[in-house]
Amino acid sequence: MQFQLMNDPFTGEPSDRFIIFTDDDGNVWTVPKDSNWMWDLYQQWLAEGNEPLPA
Amino acid sequence: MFQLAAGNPVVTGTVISSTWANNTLSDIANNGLSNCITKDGQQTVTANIPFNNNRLTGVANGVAASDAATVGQIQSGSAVTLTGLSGTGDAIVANSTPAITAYSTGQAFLYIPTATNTVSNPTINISTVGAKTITQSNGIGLWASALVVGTPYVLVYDGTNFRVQSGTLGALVGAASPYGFRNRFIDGNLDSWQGGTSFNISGTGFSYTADMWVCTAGASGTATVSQGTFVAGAEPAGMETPVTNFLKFSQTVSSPNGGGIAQRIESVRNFEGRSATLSVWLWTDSGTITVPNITIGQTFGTGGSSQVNTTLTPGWTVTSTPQRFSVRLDVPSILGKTIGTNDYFVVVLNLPASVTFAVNAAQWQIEDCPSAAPSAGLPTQFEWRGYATERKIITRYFQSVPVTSDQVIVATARSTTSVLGSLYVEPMRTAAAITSPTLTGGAILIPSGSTTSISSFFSYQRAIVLVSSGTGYTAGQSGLITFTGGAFNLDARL
Repeated sequence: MQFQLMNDPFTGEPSDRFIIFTDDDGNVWTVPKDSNWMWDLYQQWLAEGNEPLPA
Repeated sequence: MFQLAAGNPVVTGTVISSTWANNTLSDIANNGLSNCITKDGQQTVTANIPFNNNRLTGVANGVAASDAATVGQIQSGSAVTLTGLSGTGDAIVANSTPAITAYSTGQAFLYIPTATNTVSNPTINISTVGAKTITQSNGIGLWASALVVGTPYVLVYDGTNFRVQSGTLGALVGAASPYGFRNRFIDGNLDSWQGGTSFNISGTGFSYTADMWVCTAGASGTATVSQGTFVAGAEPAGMETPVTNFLKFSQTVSSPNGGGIAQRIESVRNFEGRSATLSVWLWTDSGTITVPNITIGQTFGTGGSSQVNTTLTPGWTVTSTPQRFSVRLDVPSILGKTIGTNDYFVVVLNLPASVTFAVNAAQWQIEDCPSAAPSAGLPTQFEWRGYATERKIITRYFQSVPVTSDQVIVATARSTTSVLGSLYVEPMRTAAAITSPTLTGGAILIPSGSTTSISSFFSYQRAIVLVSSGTGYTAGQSGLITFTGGAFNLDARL
C-alpha cells in the first residue's frame, strides 16, 4: 500500500484534489478528495505519521 | 319423577286422618314443589337439566359471561364485537360485552377500527385486561396504515399477541413493504464480482471482495475470500432460487481477534432507533464454528460524530450443513449526533478468533422488523431483485467500464499543452476513485496527425476525464481518443 501526491492534471501545479493510491494488488488508483474509503484510508495512514511520496 | 306418598291414592270410604293428610301434603311440599323450577326464579337449579330435544324459547340476550346466549345474539356477534373504542389507532382501548377478565389462547374478537395505526406494533387493551400487540397472521409486525378505518378484522389471541386472522390490511408502502426492497443489503445474493473472484487479505483493515462486501482477516491473520458456485439444481434445500454464488471465507492464518464479513450501507440513518432482522445462510467446509458476535456500526462520516458500535452474541453454531440463521438487531437512535460526509450503517459478522476454518455465506438479508419480534428476528423470504436491478444499484458504488477498439471518444484541445476527453458513465454516489489495470492502447489522435498518449485520467460523478499533456495543440481543436481494450474500474464505495 502506497500513497503519492498528484499535481493538478490541467495545470501541473501541486494540488490536493487527488491522491494516487497503490493498493496491495498493485492497482494504481486516482482518488478524488473525500470521495470514498480509499481517502479515509489515506487519512488514517497520515494520522499514523506516514508521509506520501511526492508528485 | 315425583310420586305420591304411601297411602295414596285413597279410595272411597277412606277416613281422611291427620296422619295421612300431613304426610301427603308434607311430601308434596318437600319432594314435589321444592324440586320444581318456579317462574319467579325463587328456586335454584341444582343439576344439569335434560331438555329432551326441546328449546328454551323467548329468552333474553345474555349479558354476563356466565349467561346463556341467544341465537340472535350469536348471529349479531355482539358478544365478540369490540365496542366503546377509545385511545388511539396505535394504542387502542376497547370493551367487550360481557366484559372479559382475562385473555385466553384462541380467543377471538371482531375489531372495526375508528382510527388507523401509524406504528408497526399497535396495541389493543380489551376490558382493561392489558395492552397486547397486534401483528400480522404470521406473528410479524404490521406497518403504518395497515388497519383501515371501517374494515372488520378478526383478532385472535395467540397467548402473547393478537394476530389479525382475517380482514384486508391497508396498502403496503415504503420500507415496511414485504413485496419490494425489503432487503437493505445490496447484492445479498452475491451475483456481482466485477472486482475479481478471489482475494488475499491480511490484517485488521477491511478490503472489498465481492463487489459490495468487505472482509477483514483480523490482526496478524490472513485469509482468502473467494467466489463459490453452487452446482445447478443442487442448491441447498430451502434456499431461494436463483442462487448461483456464495462467499467462501478461508482463514488460513488465525487471528487472536478474528476476522469478519461486512457490508456498509449508505446512510447512518438506516434502521436508527428501530429493529432489523439479519439473516444469512452459513455452513463450513468441515467441522463446526461458533459465530462469536455481530457488530452494528453507525459511522457518522468525515466531520460527523464518533462511530457507535453495538455488539450482540447471536449464539449461532455453524456446521457443514447449510442453515439459515437470523437475529434481531436493535439499532440505537442517532438523536443528537452530527452526520458528516460518507456516513454509513455497517453490519459485521465477526468470525472466530485463534482458529483456522473455512466458512461459506449466501443470501444475506437485513430488513425492518418490529421491536417486539423474538430475538431470533423472524426473517421473511429472501428478496432477490433480479440481476438488472441489483447491478443497477451496485453501479452507484462500483462499476467496471469496458472499452474496445471499436470505440472512439471525442477529445478537444483545452490549451496548447493539454487535450481533454470525456467518457460518460452511469452516475455514481460521488466522484469515484479510478484505475485501469487492464487498459491497453490508449492514444489521442488530433487532425494535424500528431499522436500522443493519455497522461492521466480521473473521474467525476458521471464521467471519466482523460487528459493528455503535450505541446503544439491548438485550443478548441478536436480529435479522438482510442483504446485497443481493457476497462476502467470506478470505485465510489464507502
